[in-house]
Amino acid sequence: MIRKFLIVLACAILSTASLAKQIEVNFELPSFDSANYHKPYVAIWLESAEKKETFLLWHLNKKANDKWLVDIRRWWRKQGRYGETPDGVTGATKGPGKYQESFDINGVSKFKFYMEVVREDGGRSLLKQAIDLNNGQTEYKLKASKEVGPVIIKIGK
Amino acid sequence: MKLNKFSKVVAGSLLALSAFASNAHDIYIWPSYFTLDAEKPTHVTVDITASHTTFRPDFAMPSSGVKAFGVDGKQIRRVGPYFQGARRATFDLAIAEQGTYALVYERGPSYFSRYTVGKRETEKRLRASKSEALKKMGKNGKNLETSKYFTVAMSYVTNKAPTDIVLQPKNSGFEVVPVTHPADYVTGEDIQMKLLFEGQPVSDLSLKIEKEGPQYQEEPLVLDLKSDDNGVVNFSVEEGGRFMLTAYHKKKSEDPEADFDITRVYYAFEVIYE
Repeated sequence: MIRKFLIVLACAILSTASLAKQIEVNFELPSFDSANYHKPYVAIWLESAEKKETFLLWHLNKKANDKWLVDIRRWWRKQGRYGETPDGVTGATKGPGKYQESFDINGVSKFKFYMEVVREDGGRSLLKQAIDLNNGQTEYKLKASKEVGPVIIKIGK
Repeated sequence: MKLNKFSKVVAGSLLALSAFASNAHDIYIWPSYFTLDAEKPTHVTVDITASHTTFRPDFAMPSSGVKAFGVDGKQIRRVGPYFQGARRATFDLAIAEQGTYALVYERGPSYFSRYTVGKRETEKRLRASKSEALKKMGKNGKNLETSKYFTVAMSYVTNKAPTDIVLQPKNSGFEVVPVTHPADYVTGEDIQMKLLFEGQPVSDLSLKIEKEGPQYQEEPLVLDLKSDDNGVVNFSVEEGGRFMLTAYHKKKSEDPEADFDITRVYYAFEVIYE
């Protein structure tokens, strides 16, 4: 009986210990041969049963208040309109290129990953991926869409 | 002199035409922004028009019926300068608070009668109550029917996080009450509204939802819907855009001057893509 309990306890400890604390997101913002090119707004966030959390928000942050955040539609409805975006996740818009960003997922094991890229006078892409850290998958590949190249999500430690 | 007289006749007939046309047309009150993110006080332009085509201004409406309600549910007394042009009227709604504002255009009650004359039963229509119409039609008229019209055009504006105070039913007359918050109408997701009369659900009522700009659609997007036993209307759309809901509620009148009470509700809203 005690042995059985110890095995269950060990499994519980192991599964908790093996859960990742970070994810690494690799993505590319494509270049556009456009007469009126503006660098895109980018938002990366998670939604889970327990919480919603913004990881990254690139926008025109010269002004304290950016009234165009409403154009990042899903992010706005789920996150933006409910309050201040925490320090550390916002940054200025960035041009075409490859990017690698790591985020602390703070103990959430089952969530949906979202990435929204919106370009003024351009297009909009919304990517989503269900992620369950308990299933052992270490990498997720999301197909490229108009405003963002292929996205690779690596489950860290 | 002649020209002046002519102008007056033309102006008079145009006025009569617009008065009639506006009765027959959909009335829209719609904001330039349905949702916005304003930290500092700002404005949203609001247009009011009677229109033949969804979201195309045809006849300006007077300011007397315009009401705006703040996020606290109280009516905003001063809405600023009101411009009434030939085809649309407009004003700037000041947005200073965070939450949901309501825009309402109300008209009525106004009586409208119709009767027939002669062997061919030619129909005559006039803006008149039953007793006024009876005087007018004399002995030759028959089949008199009078309706008492109430017209309500409505829309909502949400600054930052949505609030519910302005969505609460008044439990008076016929109402279209949002269940899904107007700032959360999203393509592919359920959108719910409730139909009430004197606070009670109105079941089995037909209504129509049309997407803006039917003149630019190969096939205009129109949904014909019916309320269920609980007065609930449930639908979803695959295309985002601005939409107009039109609902007619008709009941026998208790007013001796009318046979029917008719309430027409026009609700302008936007549906965004996820």
